[in-house]
Amino acid sequence: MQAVRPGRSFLSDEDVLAWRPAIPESGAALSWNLLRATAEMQPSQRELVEAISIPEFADDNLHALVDRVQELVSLRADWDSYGADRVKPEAALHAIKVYSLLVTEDLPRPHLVPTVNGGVQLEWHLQGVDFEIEVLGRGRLDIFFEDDASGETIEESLLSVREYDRLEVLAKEFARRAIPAS
Amino acid sequence: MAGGQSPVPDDPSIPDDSLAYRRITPHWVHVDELNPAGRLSSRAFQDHPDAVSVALRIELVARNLGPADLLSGWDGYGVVSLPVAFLRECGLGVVRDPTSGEPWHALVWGNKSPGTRKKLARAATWIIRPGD
Repeated sequence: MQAVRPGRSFLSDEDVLAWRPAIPESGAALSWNLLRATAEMQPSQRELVEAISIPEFADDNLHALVDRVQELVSLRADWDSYGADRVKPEAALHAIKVYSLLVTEDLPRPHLVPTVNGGVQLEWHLQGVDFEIEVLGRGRLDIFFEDDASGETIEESLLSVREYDRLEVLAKEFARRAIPAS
Repeated sequence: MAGGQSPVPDDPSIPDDSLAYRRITPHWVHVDELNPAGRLSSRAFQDHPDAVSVALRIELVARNLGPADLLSGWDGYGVVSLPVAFLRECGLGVVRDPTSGEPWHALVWGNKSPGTRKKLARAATWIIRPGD
């Protein structure tokens, strides 16, 4: 179980699944306002909503990422012109959850890109250091870390949230190498 | 091929000096203060389901077509190119896979690890940037 951080509350996977019936098959009604409103309408889920939180200093990043998630889940199938799958809402929102676990004042906002099999990838690229996390659903993460200067490459898969402590280690390592003041 | 692995499919009739074009959705391009011209995500070269689709320049030229023709119906998308020789240097193979709508279509086979995808993204040359 991840420690609860002080600050604004956010969403759990269970919330996302509970809300999924509200997401139409085509087009996206998945929005920050919808999610917040739904949370407020279902008091029984507040405990879950409180399970993840993001510090106030990351508020702008959070809103930008939620906007990006909304954009990604709005993509139609074949968005890459080569038959890509639609982005799975649970993958997109789980990507934000992953970000919430890593956020520090040093770590910049990641880029969020869709993957052809319905996942979402968080990416950081700074000073020749690459840190990429592919989120395919609610558990498994595929990680790529490479430092051009040292030639060090790490490729790992984390199969469940119980292994996510490793993420924090790699995020700190990324910040240490890519952000000189860290 | 070491380790008893199957050889990567490759068509030697496709010359090394040919180019492979790939359409690029703007969702795979990061634009920020560090990359004002845009940085291509390695995810642009992910198999789906088993290979990466490209268009062969030699097949386009044979039909008096060019990379801009790949964007018909795909407004806002871009096109990058990679030399076939480079794909082969990465351990990949290229095989023609013509379709009724895209007779120039080909598939890039072989293992595209995250490191290989990064190499492809870095080596790709912009022919048409998204939105141009």
